Amino acid sequence: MTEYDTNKERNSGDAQVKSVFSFFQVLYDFFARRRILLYVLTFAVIVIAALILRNITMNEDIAPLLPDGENEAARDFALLQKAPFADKILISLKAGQSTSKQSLVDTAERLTQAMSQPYFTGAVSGPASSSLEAIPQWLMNALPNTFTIKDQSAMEEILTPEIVRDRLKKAHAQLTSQEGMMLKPLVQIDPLDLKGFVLGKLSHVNIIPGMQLHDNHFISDDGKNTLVIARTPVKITDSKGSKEMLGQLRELIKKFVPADVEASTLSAYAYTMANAEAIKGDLVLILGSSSVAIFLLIMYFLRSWKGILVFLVPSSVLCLATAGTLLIYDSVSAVTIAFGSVLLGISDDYPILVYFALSNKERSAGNIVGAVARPVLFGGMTTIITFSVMLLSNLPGQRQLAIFCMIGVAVSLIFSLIVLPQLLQGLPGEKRYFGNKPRGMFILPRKWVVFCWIGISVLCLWQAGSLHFNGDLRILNMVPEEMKKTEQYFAKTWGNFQDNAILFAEGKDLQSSLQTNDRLFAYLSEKMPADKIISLAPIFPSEKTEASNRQRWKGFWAQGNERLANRLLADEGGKLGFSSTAFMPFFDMLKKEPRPLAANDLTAIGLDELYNSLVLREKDKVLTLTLAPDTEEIVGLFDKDKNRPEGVRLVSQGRFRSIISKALVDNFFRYIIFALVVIIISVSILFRNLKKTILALMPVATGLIFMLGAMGLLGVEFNLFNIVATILVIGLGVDLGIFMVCNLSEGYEHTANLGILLGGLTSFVGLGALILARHPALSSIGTTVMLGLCGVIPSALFVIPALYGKRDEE
Amino acid sequence: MKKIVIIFVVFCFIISASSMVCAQEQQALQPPPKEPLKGKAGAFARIEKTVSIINAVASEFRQERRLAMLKEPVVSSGRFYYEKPDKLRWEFISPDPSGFLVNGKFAKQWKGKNNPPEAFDLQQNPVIRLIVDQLMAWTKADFAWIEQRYVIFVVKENPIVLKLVPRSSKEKKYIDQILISFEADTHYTSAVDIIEKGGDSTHIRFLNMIINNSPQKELFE
Repeated sequence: MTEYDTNKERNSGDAQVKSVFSFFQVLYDFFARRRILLYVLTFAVIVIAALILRNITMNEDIAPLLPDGENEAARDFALLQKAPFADKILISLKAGQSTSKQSLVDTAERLTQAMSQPYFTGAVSGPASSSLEAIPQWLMNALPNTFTIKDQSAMEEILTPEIVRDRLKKAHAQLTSQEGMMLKPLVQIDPLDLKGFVLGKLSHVNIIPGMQLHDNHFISDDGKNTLVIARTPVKITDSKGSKEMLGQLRELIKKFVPADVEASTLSAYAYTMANAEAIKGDLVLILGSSSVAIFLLIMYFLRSWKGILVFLVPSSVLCLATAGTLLIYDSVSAVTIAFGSVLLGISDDYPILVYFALSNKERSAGNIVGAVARPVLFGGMTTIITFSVMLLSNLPGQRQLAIFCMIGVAVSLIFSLIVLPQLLQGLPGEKRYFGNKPRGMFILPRKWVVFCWIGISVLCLWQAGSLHFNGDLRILNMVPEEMKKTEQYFAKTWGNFQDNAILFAEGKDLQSSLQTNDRLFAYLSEKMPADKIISLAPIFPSEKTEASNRQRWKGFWAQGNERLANRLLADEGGKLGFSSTAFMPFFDMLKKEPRPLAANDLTAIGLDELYNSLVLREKDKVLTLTLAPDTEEIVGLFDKDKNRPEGVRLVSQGRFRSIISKALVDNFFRYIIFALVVIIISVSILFRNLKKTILALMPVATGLIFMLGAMGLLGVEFNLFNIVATILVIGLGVDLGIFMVCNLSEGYEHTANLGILLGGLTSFVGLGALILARHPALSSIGTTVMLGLCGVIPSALFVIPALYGKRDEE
Repeated sequence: MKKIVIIFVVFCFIISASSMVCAQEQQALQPPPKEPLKGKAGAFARIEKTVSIINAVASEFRQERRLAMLKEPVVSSGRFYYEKPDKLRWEFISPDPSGFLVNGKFAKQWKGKNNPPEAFDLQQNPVIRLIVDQLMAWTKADFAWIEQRYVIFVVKENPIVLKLVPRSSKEKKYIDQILISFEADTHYTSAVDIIEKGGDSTHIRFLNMIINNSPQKELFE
């Protein structure tokens, strides 16, 4: 047996152990005489946990991965979900070689009608049908209500003999055409084709750029695709509901879409389902592989059936931590369960250390438990406090994870220090371990160790400078290849309508929201080409703007233009054969007081779906949406321009990425600073010695530096989820650091090193199992934390001893 | 709007169908074997009897539209061709050339002298599809189908004059009634008058009708 430290230090350590941690020795002695009681109590706790787990509700929702609360990121994320197509299901039907356009729209029609409750609350394959008269009537009524200053200037240019003659010729041709009978009322009321002013404004409500209308159906520009837009009562985050609903849709497509028509579906629900399926598959893979690997590692190193007892601790921890989490939350996220492998890897460090400590036959078991309680308890408590940092996270999943891990580590500490020693001592069999004979397995040349450590650290610090923080939530989404192809097909066929910036004009009621929307449209029109703006403002302004437009309209005709129009129509119309009374309805219309526009009027012309997508009524406010290209310029305007309209919030994927990236950087430093402060205080209290404190923190520092450097070197980015790896690396690093410094300073058996190695390896396996995950969020944590552990474990095993001082062997 | 156009064109076919009847009667030149039926049933019976052996029709037409909005009536002329089972060409020649043709599933339309004809899928155009459907109804003398859409009155039995009143409220908004007149001696359809609400009217007179002389193939290409 080798001791690294002096007898003086050992005596001092013993004294401290006795004074502070004798409680565990007392507890050991107490239960040593009442082992059955302890076993019964432990069994009862596990049975209760099992009973709680019987009703476990595991959700594969992606909600835990998304920001919540009142912060800017959560608010923006919630607003992004209100985008016109965010909660819709888009089905694009592509015609085959022999499929006619009519056959295509007929298929769309049949599918639309078949999409009914309970999975669908409605589906459309085109604007709602309107009566033949409704559109011209609405156009003429909208004319005075949307009459802008720009329209006024354009109108003045129309009232010339040449243009009036030209327009009357067209009116004459319409009248004498086969459709003349139908067009006659419209020609009478609008001989100068003034409705064109309003028709032009309708382009501002064409949300899908690559869309045309054919027989009142959505048709792509090439005429080969039609679109069905469906609504569902299923929540976007409901993976089970999404799966059922998409399954029903597949059945309907199979039934109603002929073989020569190809159907493609795009919706957030498909992502939800894909993510849930991936996480479920990952669960089995991660938990299965990590459990087997950790068990084999323990058995290989311990080489005794009592290794099973050691493995039982993390296994029970998993069960109890899940049950404990269920007492706090209604359901446990699948991501949390997947983190079970991490918990396995972390929580087995304490029983392993206790096992190796109890291998010492020179001292009494109670004395050893009291002694080993110090590093174990401090390591565990520090880890718990480090995990508590995640409670500050914006992601509910990370907060639940913190609770899960904190409960798990606490349970592991209790089992390791109270139950396991009794099992190990009370049951027959010898505590053996790998490495009984090769005593010098951790002895490496000090100078080389320090030299390599400094070299690698400097290299890593240099590379850490190129580390990036990526706030794009989409990279955390599981997107199968097939879905990527569907995305590309939709973008190519229907245009890039999903990547617009969304501007929310907020008001306490509809009118105040519309007024803000009017100001927004005017502002944007000055800053960018107006045809890029999707807005209701041009065709459905606020009542205030409408009143102003009507006033402008009346003023325009009152200032002599009515007389001018009358004269021009009489002169030019007479030349073309129009009777003197032909356009009386037009002048009657000018004399009438225009009626204000109403939302119901949009319903009458088939734009109700659009109106409901762009005007959102909430509990205490109304939001009117405007869409514009998501460019840096527009994001910059709403970040910096002081003249931007008030009451407007811009939300875009680009801006959201930037907010999340900023939040990531903030979170990263908050995590690191908070966790470091906590562990420095804890370690200082434990050792009350600057040198030992610094050495105990060495694995943390080395792990972080190595992790950041390797990430920079390999181009691995920090994202909203793998930032958790920082906490895990700090938690594991400080554990191993405390164990090693205690081992060196307090003269425990050299096999403690073996315990540290085994603890590190099981953590490596447990956390590394995440790398096998198909889900990008889990996989990214696995990758990051493994990089960190590559720094933590060697620094605990080799760098701390090298820096600590001269060893007995030397 | 499209329905009204259909109605307008459909009555052109009513005329053609009636003409077929008359042409057949002329060809037969034989006294009826028994006492003819009276009233609407009689008119329908004569039409039904002769329509069955008509294979092709070619005719000129002259259209006169009288509108309160225009000081003078607008006069235009053109030709139409029909060949069983599904070939049709309807074209205005003056003052402005325009028209459409249908040949099975193939169809195209044109407007003006300088605009090239544009092919379109008949199944994509419900207006022309309905015209063809109407034509089929008349060539088959499917009066049950026609009476679902219009109330038919026999204004005169000899020469036959039918008055059709739309049943649909939408069509009623535009059309008051349609009169189809037949020549007294030959029983050819001579004219169609569409009387609109408000008094405007369209009068179409058919001239030089040729029966069962198949039109040139190129006319339907």
